[in-house]
Amino acid sequence: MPSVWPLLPWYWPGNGWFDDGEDAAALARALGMGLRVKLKKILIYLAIACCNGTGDVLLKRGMEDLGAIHLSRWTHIFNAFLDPWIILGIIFLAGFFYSYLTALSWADLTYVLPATALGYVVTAFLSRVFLHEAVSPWRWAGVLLITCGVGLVARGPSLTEPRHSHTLPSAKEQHELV
Amino acid sequence: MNSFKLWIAIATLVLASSTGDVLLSAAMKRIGDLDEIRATKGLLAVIGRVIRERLFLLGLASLIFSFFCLLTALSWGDASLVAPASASLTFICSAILAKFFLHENVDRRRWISAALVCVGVLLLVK
Repeated sequence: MPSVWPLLPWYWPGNGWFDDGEDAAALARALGMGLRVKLKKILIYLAIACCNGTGDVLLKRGMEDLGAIHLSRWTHIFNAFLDPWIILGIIFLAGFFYSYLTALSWADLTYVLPATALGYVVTAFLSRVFLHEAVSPWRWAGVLLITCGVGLVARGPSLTEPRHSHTLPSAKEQHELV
Repeated sequence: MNSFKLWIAIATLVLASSTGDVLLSAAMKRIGDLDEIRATKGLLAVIGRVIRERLFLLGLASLIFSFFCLLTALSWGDASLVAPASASLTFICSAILAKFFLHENVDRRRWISAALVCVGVLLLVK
């Protein structure tokens, strides 16, 4: 009677889901790495969105303390750098720029850009809760659309594979390897 | 005439900020994974490596230029028109530039997502 193990829809030695030469430890490592990459993607998306949105709201809160800037007294704007809300906002925006650059170092631009749009969603929530601004139904519809767009792209691959990465080494390279 | 001037400013702003994003992306791809550099050599090495990259400086200059274009456009037109129009157009423009200059695989999923985000940003001002 043939064994049913190879038919199981899960990783199992001998059912062709992975190379037979691979041992259980290598499989565990691969799964762990996949999980780590996934976690890294989620964390960087959250960092970009939260730092961007929070930074904007903090700047807005700080500028409320300062009042409107008039062109005739434009040096007034330097007082902004003394306001704790604005300093905090600038720190958050610096954090945004750092996480944005980090994300760009291992993901496509078209993958990272929607995350920056997620910052608008955070801004909408924070300005409702923290600044007590009215958020119209149209704006919530916009938030919903942005969230759908981000969710769509986030589920896809993060990096375009280089076109020649999987080709075999050339004869010269093979010779050098030997 | 005035609205023509305004749209020229918005177009310049959109082009400059998308170009800046594309240049930053190209610079970061050239540098490699920042997380790895930070883990092995520390944060200062990351900053040093990034600011010595010429493409990064070009991208930054482009983003600063786009910021001044934004200020100019804001002084000519309503904030409720300029900010969302430029932000949403930037998503589409960046996707196009990324496809042609970075050779990114912008498949149907990413086009739909860019369109959704673009419309969503426009709705935010309503």
